[in-house]
Amino acid sequence: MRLTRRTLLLSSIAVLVLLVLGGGLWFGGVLSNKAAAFNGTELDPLKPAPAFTLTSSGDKQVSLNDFHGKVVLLYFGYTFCPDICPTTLAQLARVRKSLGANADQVQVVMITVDPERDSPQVLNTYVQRFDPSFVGLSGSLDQISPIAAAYGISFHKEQVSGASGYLVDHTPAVTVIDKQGNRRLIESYGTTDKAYESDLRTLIKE
Amino acid sequence: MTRDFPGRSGGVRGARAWLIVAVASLLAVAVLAACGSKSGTSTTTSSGSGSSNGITVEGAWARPVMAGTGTPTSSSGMDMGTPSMGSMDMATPSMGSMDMGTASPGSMDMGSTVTTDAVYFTIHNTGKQDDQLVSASSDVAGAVELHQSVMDNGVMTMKPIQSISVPAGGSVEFKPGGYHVMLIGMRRDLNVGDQFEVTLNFKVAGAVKVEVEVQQQ
Repeated sequence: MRLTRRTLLLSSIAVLVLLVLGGGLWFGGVLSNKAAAFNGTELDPLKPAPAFTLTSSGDKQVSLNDFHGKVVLLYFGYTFCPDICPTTLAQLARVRKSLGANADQVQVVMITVDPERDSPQVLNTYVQRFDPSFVGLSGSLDQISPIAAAYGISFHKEQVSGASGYLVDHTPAVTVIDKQGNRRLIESYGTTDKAYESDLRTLIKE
Repeated sequence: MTRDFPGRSGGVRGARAWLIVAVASLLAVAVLAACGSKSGTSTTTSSGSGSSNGITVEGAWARPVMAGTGTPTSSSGMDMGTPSMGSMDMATPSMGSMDMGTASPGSMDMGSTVTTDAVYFTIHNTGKQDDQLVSASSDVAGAVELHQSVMDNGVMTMKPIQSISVPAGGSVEFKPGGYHVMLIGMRRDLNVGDQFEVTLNFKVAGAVKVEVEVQQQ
């Protein structure tokens, strides 16, 4: 008699615990589903990504249009930059790899903010060290400046002491352009690999 | 299981012998440790780390990079080509002493490129004195500087810095998006798995040699 009462008590506690846990999980799931399909900042209203044509290695002219149907990760940086730019490119290479068979659906494009140092050749050798599929685009400062501005990227040359001569301060964010060619998401510096991967998988499925 | 008498006696003697061995080896370790801490000069320990006078540097790494074809100091008149790792640390140009105005790399010769890399690590100051990292040197690059990336109003800025304080009992992390040792004008390729040496010069602890591992992170 005592035993069954104890068993009853225990099992009712267990049921309660399960209910609370399950409810919490279900509610959390509902919340996270509703809260954000994307980790990056969605651009609203959705607009076509500003067009550009710049020079890749072998003096090949490359336009944004060439990547229509792919998810494009657009980054503005420069090869002399030892910290932020390689950190970002290494991350994008890692994230692309994590997509497995879908990796081909993602194109990483880096436009230089330092055309003085970054010829198309120099730039492409650099980006392809991270992933052979990456494309580097260069041009004249007059060509690049309005493109950066259209993407909300600011950059400026900064003379510094020491052996660098000058460095280029720049917005480190990555612009995600969807398969339809819309400027879709902004991924800020510090976005985790998992967050990138999730956003890209969602966009690839569209 | 029972043992016979002589066996037990042997066991007791054996235990005493073991005790003596244990005490002796403990003493030996203590003496060695004391000697180690007294030898103030920098010692390179296991890869990715180094320590001296209360300063310990661990987890040192850098990304792979290709050597450039240019040098960052072509107009300075200083011979940066010889890896003279003397006491005066010529590989680290003192801030502001060089006029780089005429040597913007790549501007004249499209084939000339100056490549860069960054070294990251964590410094621990286990000593009782505050210390400062004041410079760094390495023979893998023409110039070695202390830099910091700072996010300023959505724009990432990078600037050379004179020194970095490492308070007594504190730690400072060099990591992407923050402090880094900037290598300018790589003299040789660094490939994944390679190791190279960087000397960190501290105001109090002096020179600390750090073995850096090349990793793709």
